[in-house]
Amino acid sequence: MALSATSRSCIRLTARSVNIQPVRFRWKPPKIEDNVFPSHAERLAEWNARYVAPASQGINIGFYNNHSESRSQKLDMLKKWTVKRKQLEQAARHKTLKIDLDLMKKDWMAESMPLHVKKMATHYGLFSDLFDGAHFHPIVPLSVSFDYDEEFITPVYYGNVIPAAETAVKPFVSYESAEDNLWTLVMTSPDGNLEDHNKELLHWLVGNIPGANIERGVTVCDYLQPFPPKGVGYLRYAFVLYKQERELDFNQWQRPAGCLSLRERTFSNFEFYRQNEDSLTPAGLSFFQSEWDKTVTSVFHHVLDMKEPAFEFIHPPFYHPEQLEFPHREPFNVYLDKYRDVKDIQEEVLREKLKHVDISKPASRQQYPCIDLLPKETPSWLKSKIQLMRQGREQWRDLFEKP
Amino acid sequence: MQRLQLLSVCRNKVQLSQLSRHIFGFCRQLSTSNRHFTDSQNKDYVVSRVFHNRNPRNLEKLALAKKRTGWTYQAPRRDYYHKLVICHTNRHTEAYVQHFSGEKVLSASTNEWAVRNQLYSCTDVSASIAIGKVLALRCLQSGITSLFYDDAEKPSEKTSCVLQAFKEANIALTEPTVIEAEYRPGINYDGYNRYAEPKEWKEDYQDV
Repeated sequence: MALSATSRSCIRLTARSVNIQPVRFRWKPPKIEDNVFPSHAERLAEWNARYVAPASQGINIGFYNNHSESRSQKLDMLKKWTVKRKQLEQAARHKTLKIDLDLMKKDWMAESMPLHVKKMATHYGLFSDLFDGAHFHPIVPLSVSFDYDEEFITPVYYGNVIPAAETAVKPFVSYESAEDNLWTLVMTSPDGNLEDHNKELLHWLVGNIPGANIERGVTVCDYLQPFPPKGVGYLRYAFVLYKQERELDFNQWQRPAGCLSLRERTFSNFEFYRQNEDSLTPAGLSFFQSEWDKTVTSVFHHVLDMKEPAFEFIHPPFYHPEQLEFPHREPFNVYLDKYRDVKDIQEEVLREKLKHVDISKPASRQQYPCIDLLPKETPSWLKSKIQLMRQGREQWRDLFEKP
Repeated sequence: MQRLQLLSVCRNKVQLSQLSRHIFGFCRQLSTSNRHFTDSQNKDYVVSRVFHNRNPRNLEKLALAKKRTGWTYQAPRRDYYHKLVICHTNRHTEAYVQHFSGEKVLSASTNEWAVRNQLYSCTDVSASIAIGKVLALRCLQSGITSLFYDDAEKPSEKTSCVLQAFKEANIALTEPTVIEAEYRPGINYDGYNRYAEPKEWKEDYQDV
């Protein structure tokens, strides 16, 4: 040890003597190796390794979205616009120029609708859940609307929220098509399966639709209205329009007329597409979201004839670092409570509750629970515990009836 | 962005109380009817105890999803799910909705002919009014009803025209605050807990 220490100091001495540059600092910083951070490519590889991408990710299974103008076309449009816009100058300068949203929508349908809807469907995770990651451009504008009222209709766009009460009757579906084309329409819910969350629930399936006449198609599965259960939030419901190459036989997918069995309605859109891949091409898409409301209860009781499930959200448990023997700057009571067994705490709360409980009426929160002063000599930890107990906070919330 | 598959998990109250996992009955039995469903088609249908909602936007809509916090006084702010960005360039006016994952989700721009055909100029105030109306419509059609807008700077006339269109369309320009679990001390040593777990980044909000 001693030898090595002396040899090291020798080396340091020699190194200093060799150095020609005059010494400017009495103390030199220790030599630290430079931090070598991972490169962007390495970080990206690490990031990508965290996920398992769906097998069909990145495959385009739809029609070619051929909306792109040539340079001459663009110039032509520009020329037309420069002439046309002159009429609008005065309105624009007076800030009274109003855009006609219906006309905008009509032009948008032909221009950038497929790209925008595809982006939105990706945002809502529809391609990964319905097509195992494969995507398509919905080049056929599919208009779906629920008619629940004599006065109003509720249109389905691409992700809008529709109350479950308005979806009781099957919607009107329209699209532009030649008479001799055949189509298939699927309405499925990727979140609606209550038994297996990796499967979907089939709501409606009509095949061999000649032109745009849904009534003349073969109803493979009857329409069942959406029934988002209580407490699970917003479920997605998607309408997918496939173009058929030839007439298809849907016997394998045929559900009995008026089928209400949820097990029989279990569905996988990807499986359906893969089996008919040669003759089906997805061409249209629209989807909406729906949440529980009061009408869903009656759907469960009177239509599906089953008990209504109700769910509540599970918050992830709190993170606790390893318990220390001597924690620094931690109040001992709070720190020890943090690591106690939940059952132990709950027992303590129940004992406290049983002391004061009056069977004739439930304990209710007082308006000023901490108005009574505690004796002066009470230690601070006990004071804070009693205050929490009076206020019904943290574990003591169970002492009182829920607001 | 498609890879941010965030799971939302809900617990079935009815089923859990049957299992009596909690000692003091914190789970309420939500019995909704006393009818017997003996000849029902769904009598042997078992509703799963834990429901996974695969909709990646669900928790964001319910304000239960975690938000990035960023640093105090950091500009631009990071605590949002969807953010409204308004750009005025020399040639065009554009407004778009950006998701926190960086994806440009929705956009309306004067370089779309659908919008431009009805305008006199692509950069004037009328263009901003039009872009505001178009983007607000598209937001409503895609189920985005609240957005974050970073109002650190005083808005210009053109910007305030876009914001006005959002106000008229009843789209809130502030997102709801995140609903966090109320703190309860103690660790459930018998069930799932995160005691002394290695701190690693997880892509799901939930780990049950």
